[in-house]
Amino acid sequence: MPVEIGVWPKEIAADYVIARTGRDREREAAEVLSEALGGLPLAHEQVAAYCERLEISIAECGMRFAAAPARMLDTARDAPVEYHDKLTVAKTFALAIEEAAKLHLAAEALIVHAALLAPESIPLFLFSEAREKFGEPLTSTLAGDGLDEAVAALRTFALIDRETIVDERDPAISTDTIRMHRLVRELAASRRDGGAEGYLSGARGGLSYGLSGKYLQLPEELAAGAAARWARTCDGQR
Amino acid sequence: MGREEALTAIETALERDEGRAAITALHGLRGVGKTVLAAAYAERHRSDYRATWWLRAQSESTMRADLVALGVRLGWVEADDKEEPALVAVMERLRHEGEHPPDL
Repeated sequence: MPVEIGVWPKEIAADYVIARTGRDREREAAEVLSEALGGLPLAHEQVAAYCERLEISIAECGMRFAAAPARMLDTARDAPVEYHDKLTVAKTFALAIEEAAKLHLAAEALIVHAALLAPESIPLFLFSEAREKFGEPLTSTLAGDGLDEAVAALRTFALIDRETIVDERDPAISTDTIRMHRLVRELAASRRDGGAEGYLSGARGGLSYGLSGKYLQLPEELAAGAAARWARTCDGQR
Repeated sequence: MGREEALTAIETALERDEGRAAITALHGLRGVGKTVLAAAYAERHRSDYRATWWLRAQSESTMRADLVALGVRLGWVEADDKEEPALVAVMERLRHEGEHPPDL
C-alpha cells in the first residue's frame, strides 16, 4: 500500500524555521513565511539557511522571498548537501518539468500556462476548449487525448494533482481540474519566455474563449472578465 | 519534525504482510521528505532487519551493481562472481526470501 507524504502543517513548518534560526520571538513571521513556502520541507530548509547565513530576521527573510521567490529558491549555497548534492528547490522542479516534457510535448507549456492562473483548482475544459487560441505547441499537442496525456506526464513527476470536483448544487455535474503546489506554480511561471504581458494576454484570450465556449450564454467579453479574474497579473497579484 | 504520523503509516504499510516480503512506496512532491522519512524508518527499525540497503535507481547499471552488492552483503553471492549470474541469484533469493521472515 503506497504511503502519501504531505507537506508540513503551518505550525510544524514554523517550528522548524524557529528552531533552525533560533529566533523564537518571531512566531508570527515564521508562520507567514511557512505559508508562503507552502509547507514544503526542502524549501524551508533552504530559506532558513539563507536567513541563518545572513543573520537577518524571519520577517525580513519573508519579505525578500516575496520579492524574488524564484531567485531565493535557486541559491545553491543554501541548499542542503544531503539533498542530491545541493540540488535547489528551483532545480529539482525544473528537472521534473524537463522530464515531464520528455514524456509529452505539451507538458511544459501546459504547466506554464496553468501557473499564470489563480492558485485554485483549474478546470481542464479551459485548455481543451481554448487550445486553438493558445497557439503552438498547445494547439496541436493538446488535440485528441493530448490534454490527458500531458496531465499524466506532469502527474508522473508529482508536479500537479488531478481531481474531479462535484457541483455543490447539482451532484450530477462534475468538473475535472488540476492544481499545483504554490512553489511549483511560482517556478513554472518563471519559465515563460518572451514578454510577460504578451504571454499573459495570450493566455487570457485563450481562457476567455474557453469560458465562452463552455457557457454558450456567456458573451465573450464577459468571459474575458471572468478569465481576467482567473489570470494573475505580473504587477498585481504576484 | 512532525512526522510521527507518516512514520506510523509506513510502519503500518510494512506490517501488513508480516512474514512475507513487505513492499511499499512513498509518494509526494519533490522535496517533501520521502528519502528522509525512509531513512528515519530504517534507523528506527534497524534491529528488525538484517540489512538496510539503498539502491541507486538512476540507471540500470547502478541498480544492478547495488543489487549484487546486497547479495554479497547477505552472503548470497561472492564478491568476485560475474555480475549477470550473481544478479540472477540475488533476484531469485529475494523472491524466495519473501516466503520467510523479512531480510531487509
